[in-house]
Amino acid sequence: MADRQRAVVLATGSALAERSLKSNPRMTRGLVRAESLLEEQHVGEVLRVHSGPCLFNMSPGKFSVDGKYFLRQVMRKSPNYSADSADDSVIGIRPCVFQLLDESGELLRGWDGFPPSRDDHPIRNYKPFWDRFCPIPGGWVILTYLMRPCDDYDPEWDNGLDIHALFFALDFTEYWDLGHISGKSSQNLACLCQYDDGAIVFFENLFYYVTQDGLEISGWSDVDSGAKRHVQFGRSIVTYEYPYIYEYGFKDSALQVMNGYTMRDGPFSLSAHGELLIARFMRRLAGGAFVNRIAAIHDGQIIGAFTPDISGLTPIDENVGLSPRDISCSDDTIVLSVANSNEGFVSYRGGGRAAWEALPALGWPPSS
Amino acid sequence: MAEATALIQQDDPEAQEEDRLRARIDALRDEIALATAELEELRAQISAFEARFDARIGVLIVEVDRLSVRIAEYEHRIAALSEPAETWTRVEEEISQEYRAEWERIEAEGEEARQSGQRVADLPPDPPEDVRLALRHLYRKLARDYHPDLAKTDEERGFNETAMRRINAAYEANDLDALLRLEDELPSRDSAFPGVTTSARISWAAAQIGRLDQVLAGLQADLTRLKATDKYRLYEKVQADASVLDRMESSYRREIDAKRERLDSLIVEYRTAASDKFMSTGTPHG
Repeated sequence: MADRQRAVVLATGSALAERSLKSNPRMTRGLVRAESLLEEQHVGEVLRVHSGPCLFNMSPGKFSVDGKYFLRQVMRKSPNYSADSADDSVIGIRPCVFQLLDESGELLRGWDGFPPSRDDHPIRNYKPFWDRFCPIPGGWVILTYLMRPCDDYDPEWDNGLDIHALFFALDFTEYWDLGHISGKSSQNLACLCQYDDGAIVFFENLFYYVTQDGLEISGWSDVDSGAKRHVQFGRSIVTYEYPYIYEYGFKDSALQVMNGYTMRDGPFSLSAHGELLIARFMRRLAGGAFVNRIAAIHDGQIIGAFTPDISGLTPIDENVGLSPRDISCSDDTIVLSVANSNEGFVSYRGGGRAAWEALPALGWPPSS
Repeated sequence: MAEATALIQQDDPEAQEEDRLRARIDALRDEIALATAELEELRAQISAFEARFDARIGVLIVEVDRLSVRIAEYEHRIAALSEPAETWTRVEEEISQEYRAEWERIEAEGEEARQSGQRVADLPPDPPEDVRLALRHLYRKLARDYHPDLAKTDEERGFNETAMRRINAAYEANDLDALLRLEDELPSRDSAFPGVTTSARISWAAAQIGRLDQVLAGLQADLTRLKATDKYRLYEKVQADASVLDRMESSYRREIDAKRERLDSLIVEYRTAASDKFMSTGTPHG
């Protein structure tokens, strides 16, 4: 019956029935492109591409708590480079310099030396960590470090580490020393994330809570201290330790693992709405191309995602392609740092929570 | 006093059954006509959309592919320049072999996109809403009478297949006049069931209902199958937001510009490097 019916349909429906079912590879590819474009539309638009080479493990910078400032680190190309210069073409390999930008991405000021304009300070020889800075109300906490053999130096480990936490006012006009941590290994890098009125520092299996009043131990963790990043997630801390993401909560006066997410890849950050975690991951499309995607996660579930438009960036190596390395958010802006590019940073004006929540209606996450 | 005797009409159970089956067949004919109209309308819309898509976007996608292969070929040539002369002189042959299948695919797709795009000129203009509704109503009425699967005999089926082809052609062309002419021209259908006795008609009707149920299920499956295609999914997205096509075109044009720039720089790089190599080795390029 089915064969006969098909014959009748073909006889009466003519070429139209046949043509409508015949695949068109250009339309299949168009569908993939359309899906990406539709998802992006609901999240935001590219605001600008911030110049500055983005290297592996480098932060795109972080917005202040009030969202009005953006602090980033870049690498300078030559000793002649002036950190105050807005000419990004001279920014090169090393060492890192701090730059303070306004919310639209315009350079306000930069610092070659660190801490700025206080050469008489006892920690003047300390260097700022790449990526180890974070906003707290009223300013920024920046970790500085000095490598030295520590008291119980163990040659199995590398150099000892001496860390100071500094608090800077929002516009960097003043700063003060909040406290001191010592440890054995630069492998056990301290990490920072904003938490309530202060910041959480994670170093060698200990959590420290840093506020403008100082620095104190607030918990411990069994997680390998090589964990790369932390963010506050509701009343928890989320830690990324390849290939897993752990959620910590306060239990018995200590931060302990509450949930583990088996999501590979970072980086991640908080959305402007606090309870959302935004992460980068990869998805293989038909045809084998990889596309970087940014997803919003709530209660362990992906609730929305989009593909960042990084088509305006020039890859250093086309065979490798571009890849977002880090992500930062303010109220309505997402900033990505993109590896393998000379341009480096991309800002998005986001659509807020409503945009993320609209995405499931667009078929995200996919069932497969 | 004797009780009055009245004649009470007793319904014939077989006649009742025949009426019930007739109503069921009528309902099925309506459903089949509706599903046929929906399927045919969707096919026509998707076909028109495909032609417009290929004319505007499909050709750009093919151009992206062409540039990608040309870039890959020049990268291959440049890489080969650092090879020993005996390897380097064979590079054009290697490239020809390596990318032959890809070029054949691209040329075939280019031809498909060109032909598909050419159909845009033949597409009927979109009718006004009142005409569109009249077309749909009339098509459904004609499909109800002349769908080949609704024929009662083989002879009628043969007639219906020819009639339905003409009905479909007029519908695809949005030609309301042609459909009206067909309505006048085609003979009216007798709704009577074939068979001399009631039980024979019931038997035929029961078998017909089973067959029509299958026809309807087949049409619904066709509709589901059509809606699962990438063509329909893309069509649906563009129906929901027509600006998607504008953005797709911009996106592909940006990609083409970037690839052309990359290709131009590779050509310059290759010519410079090849020239240097000839100067140093005196070997002519093969």
